[in-house]
Amino acid sequence: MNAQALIDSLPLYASGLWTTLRLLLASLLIGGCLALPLAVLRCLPTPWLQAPVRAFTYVIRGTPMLVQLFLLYYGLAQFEFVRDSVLWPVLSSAWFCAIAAFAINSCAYTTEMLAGAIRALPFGEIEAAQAFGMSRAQLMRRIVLPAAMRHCLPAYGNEVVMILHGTSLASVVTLMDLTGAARETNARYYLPFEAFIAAAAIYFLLTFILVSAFRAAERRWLAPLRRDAVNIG
Amino acid sequence: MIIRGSRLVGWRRLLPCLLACLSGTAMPVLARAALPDPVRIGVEGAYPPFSEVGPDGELKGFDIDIARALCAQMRVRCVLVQQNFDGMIPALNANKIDAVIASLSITEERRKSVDFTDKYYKTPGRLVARRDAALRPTPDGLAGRRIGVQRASTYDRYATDTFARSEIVRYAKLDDVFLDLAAGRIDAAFADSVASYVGFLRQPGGDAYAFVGPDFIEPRYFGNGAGIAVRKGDTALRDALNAAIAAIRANGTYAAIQSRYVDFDLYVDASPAAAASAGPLHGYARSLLQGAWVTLSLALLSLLLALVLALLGASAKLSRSAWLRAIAQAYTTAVRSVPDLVLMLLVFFGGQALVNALALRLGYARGPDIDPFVAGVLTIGFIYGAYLTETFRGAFLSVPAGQREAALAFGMSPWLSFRRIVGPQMLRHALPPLLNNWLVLLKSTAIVSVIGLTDLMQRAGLAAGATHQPFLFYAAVGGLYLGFTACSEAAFGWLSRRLDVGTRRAVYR
Repeated sequence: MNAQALIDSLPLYASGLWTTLRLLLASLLIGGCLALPLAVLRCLPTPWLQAPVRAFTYVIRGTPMLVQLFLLYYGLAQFEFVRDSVLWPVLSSAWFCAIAAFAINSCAYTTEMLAGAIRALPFGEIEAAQAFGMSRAQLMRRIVLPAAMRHCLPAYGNEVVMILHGTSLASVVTLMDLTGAARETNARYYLPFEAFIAAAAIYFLLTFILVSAFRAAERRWLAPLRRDAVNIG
Repeated sequence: MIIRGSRLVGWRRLLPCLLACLSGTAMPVLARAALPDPVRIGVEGAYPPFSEVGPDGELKGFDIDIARALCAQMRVRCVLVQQNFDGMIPALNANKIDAVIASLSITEERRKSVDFTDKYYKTPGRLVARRDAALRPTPDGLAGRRIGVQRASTYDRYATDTFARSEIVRYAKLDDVFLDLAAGRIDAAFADSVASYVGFLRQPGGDAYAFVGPDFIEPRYFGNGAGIAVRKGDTALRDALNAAIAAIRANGTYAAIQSRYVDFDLYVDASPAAAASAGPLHGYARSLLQGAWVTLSLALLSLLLALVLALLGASAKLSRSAWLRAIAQAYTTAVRSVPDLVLMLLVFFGGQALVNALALRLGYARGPDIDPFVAGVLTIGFIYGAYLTETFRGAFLSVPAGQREAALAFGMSPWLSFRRIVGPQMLRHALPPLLNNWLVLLKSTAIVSVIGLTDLMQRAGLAAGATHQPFLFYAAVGGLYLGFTACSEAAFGWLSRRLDVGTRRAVYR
């Protein structure tokens, strides 16, 4: 009966997995594309460029993603002018709200991560580049960004996994993602172990694939920078 | 689940017989003796007018009044346990509650998992839609339309089977169905007629909507009214509740509650004006602050657990023993691979079944209860222990190897070299990611509301449902979390300035 319940729920899990993957990819793509320029702005010494980025990442990183999701999903509908606007069919879809919340979140974290890596670069590298007479743009493109992105790899791996796990919140706003499938199965058959462990196993597999990919990337791009550190033991 | 489903039930059936053999006392006394003390009753709190949470945080409504009247009639102590509707039967079978008084319709499907008392009320289900929507309330007329229902309710089941060509959208709470109907995300709501009438149609803005179509009463789906669910085989409690229902119907208590419910109905109309005068948060400020305190203590206790686990994990990962490294690796890999929400649902529902099975093996009737707070601390601490392990490992690796080698060469023990040389330098590197980890941990506490903890998030949700102002309350929650963040950052900033003393940084020109 237990196995039968899971077999019956298999299509549910399959479509849930597909939903989860689409949410993840869309959020990461949008978030990552926005984060790169924002990180550079965040590190410029010009206060009026830096401040808005700082405020944005501050507010987003300071509030739970569930709150942001609920503000978009339930909160927007409180205002009549939003409901009457031409954009409402888009704004009101659960897909839009979920992807927007996840992408904004990912963008804020990635921005801070990159900015942190940029600031933490050894001063010698930057001083050397400056001594070579590189412009600020050249310095960013040739020295700072490639090095910062390498140093970000382990942290960005964490971030991608965090967003994958964050997509489980989509089940709270009616989207049938992987977690939604598990909750539906638990509610239908009252089998908490089977339902959630099945979902956990699939998430585990997804995470394992992501982590392996990032480990390979670290070996490829980061290991040369850490030759000293690896031997500490 | 086989263990939970049959063995536990077997034991529960056995218990009265066993007691009878041992004591030889009369059956009525036995029935009383077999009742739990206190009786834990699952109620919902988001299904007005049957159950809802007022500005003062008090549960009220028809279900709540009935529950209290039945407890008084049975002369037992009761505690009301608030729970999301779709978690109600799982919680009952996981032994977190003993009975469910939550307008649960008596159906054959549910009878497979729980036992029901006689009905305590019965009302038809109806469709609600915009007056100008011109919906034909037939399966053909509703084809392609979006119909909102409460997940796992009888309305969900009926709509799924009957309106097969419509898109059924499922929500955890009925309040959310109506919020989305008002937002235009769904074309119709399908729910209990009284709940729709009082909870939506009579609310501000509800006059643009109306009932469409007939009363839906098919007993195959809607059963024979709402009953009280108890665990399968818990005949003692079921019989006591049945007797109490009959008694309050006979002695006029039920009629009194019913009339109070009509009064309450009128009170709902008067409340928006009264609520508007109660400050910017409609009188819910106190409730939110209480929730904030729960959230904060949850976060701090989880952090403590996570730090301990992380130090153990990081030293295991960097140790020479392959076994320790493997265990730490398994821990960080497994835990970081599953979403917080899934782990939490697993610990809360599955963990209880496990604890009960274990207790049974040790000879107890049932295990200690896992409450949402404990489940939250354990789950979050366990998860973030794994993330912090990676943080600490990375920080340790960023301290130049020469530092430790020099310390060892000076004759320091490994522990002393860690405490004096590596540790303080490592902390400087660990601080920025540590702040990130802490902020993520803090914010992940919001999802504990999903398993029924009355934290900040849950209280905001209840307030949003009651006042129909979700933006206001979720923004307030965001503001409170932002306040926590600001305090954390100030503390970390001060620490990092102290630890950065003497570090040279490049100046960008």
